[in-house]
Amino acid sequence: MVTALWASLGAAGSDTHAQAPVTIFFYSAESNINNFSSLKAEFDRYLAAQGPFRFQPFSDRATFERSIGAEREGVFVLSSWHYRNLKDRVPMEPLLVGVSRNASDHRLALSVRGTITSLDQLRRATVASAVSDEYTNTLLRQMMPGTGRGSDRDARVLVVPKDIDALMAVGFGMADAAVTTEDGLAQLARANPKLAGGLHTLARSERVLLPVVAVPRGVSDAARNLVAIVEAMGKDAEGARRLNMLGFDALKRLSEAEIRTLNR
Amino acid sequence: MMNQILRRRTQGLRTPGARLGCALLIASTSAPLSAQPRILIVNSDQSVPRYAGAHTSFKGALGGNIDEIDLAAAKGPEAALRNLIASVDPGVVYCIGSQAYLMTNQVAKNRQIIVSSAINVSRFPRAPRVFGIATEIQPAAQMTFFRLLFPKVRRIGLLYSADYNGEFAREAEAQDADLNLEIVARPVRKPSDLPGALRALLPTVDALWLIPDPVVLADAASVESIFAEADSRSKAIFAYDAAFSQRGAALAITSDIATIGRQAARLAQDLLEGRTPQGAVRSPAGSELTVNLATVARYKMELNPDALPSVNHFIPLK
Repeated sequence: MVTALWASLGAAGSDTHAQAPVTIFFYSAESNINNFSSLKAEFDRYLAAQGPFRFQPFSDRATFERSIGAEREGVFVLSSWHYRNLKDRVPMEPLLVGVSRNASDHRLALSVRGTITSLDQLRRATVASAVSDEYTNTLLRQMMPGTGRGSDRDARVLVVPKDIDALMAVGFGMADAAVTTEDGLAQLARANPKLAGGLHTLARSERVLLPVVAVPRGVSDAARNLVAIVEAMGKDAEGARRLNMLGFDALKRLSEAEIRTLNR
Repeated sequence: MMNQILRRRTQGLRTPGARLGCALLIASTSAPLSAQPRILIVNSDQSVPRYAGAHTSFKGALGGNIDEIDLAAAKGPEAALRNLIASVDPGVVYCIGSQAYLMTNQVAKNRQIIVSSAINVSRFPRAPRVFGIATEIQPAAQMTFFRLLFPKVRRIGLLYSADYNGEFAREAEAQDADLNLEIVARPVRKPSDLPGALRALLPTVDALWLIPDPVVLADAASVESIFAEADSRSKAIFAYDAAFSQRGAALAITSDIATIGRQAARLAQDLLEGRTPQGAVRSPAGSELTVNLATVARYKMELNPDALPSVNHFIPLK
């Protein structure tokens, strides 16, 4: 089906594509995804069947930002928080947003062990998190206004590879608190209910849009065709499996309200 | 060349070490001297990727005032280390690998030491001033990953030698009910007992948990016999090293090297600020998961799709 979509959308530009593959640039500050070699192999294999496309994940934020700043034909996948930080420097048009469990946004939670009952007890604590140090501090400031905590000076962030690592770090005593998605908490509750039962949530963030797909302003049809292919990935099993690797089940068109939120 | 053998960064003023006349010490930056106590990294061999990874992430987490030595590249490493410790006067020494720790513990008897990236850190001779980050992920954390990724797998076999892994097996068995698992642990006294133990255990379990055990995994032939026997019965193997995934293990769980370096950095901060960490040895807080999709498909295992973002590496379908 996706192949057919490519055939219908991309036939006119196929000569150009054969010379210059269109690239998906991926970086997410919102999830500490680090399975880059697997991601690249899996997405490249999937996209190669659709046309002259490739996938390029980035582990380094500065390199990602430099790369997309110079790119005129690419497709960018980045966290909504990162998009909002970048949009004034890199002219982009947001088109899609990730969907997980039928929702295009989520909240993050600050979880602690049962012995900690107030934010005051968390001063100078180690906070495990699967997102970047900078984003964790942004969330902490949002979740703990006026407590004296939340400045970069106070937050000791231990960056770990995934939400469940952060939560287990608290449960097993390697950290005092964890900032994770609520989905991460639900995962731990299913896998290890006793450990999850020993944690409780002290604070929650506002709802945050999941990662978005954007293109440079004035991009060609070729990149828009690739966006359409990516949008359809959630509708076939092989595509959905790859989207799962990024943490979502599907992608959908951004609503006007969501675009307004992103551009605030 | 000397830069490669022994790298030293000072923050402005020359230190006693620079007065040694030892060409090994290289003063570099012109930033002002920090009032903070200094940190020294002693790396057993920086050409080893897992040592280099911990080293890099430790420096990345702390930045600033850090001195370092690569023992494998140093001529007369013990004397070089002794001189460096005398000149730097570090508040904390971070040792990466067994050799770094054992040497540092000999030459720096009154220093606060953090050790990581060494097998069985908890068994090292240790003073109260020594703290460690273990390499091995604790049993309950591994079992949580079993449940997360393969929720239908319930009975898991574990072969171990009582001398080396008796505590590990007891800990796993003590927590299996909490995770709705059943760990079927069977001791193996000597390598020649392995074939019989495998034949008795495998028919009774859904999967086999492979742990680093010198009796069970005595040699390459033992590894081969385990994989062959498990494969003949379509029993998945959950292993402790990603190399086993290439051999057919459905899942491998290893500690994340970069996280270990960051944990050591947090520990160093605590020590320099005069706070005593809880517990001498901490478990690694980060994990790296490898799933062999070919094995999963061949054994018709149910892989939880919600857990896929947590998987770092996939061995693809053939």
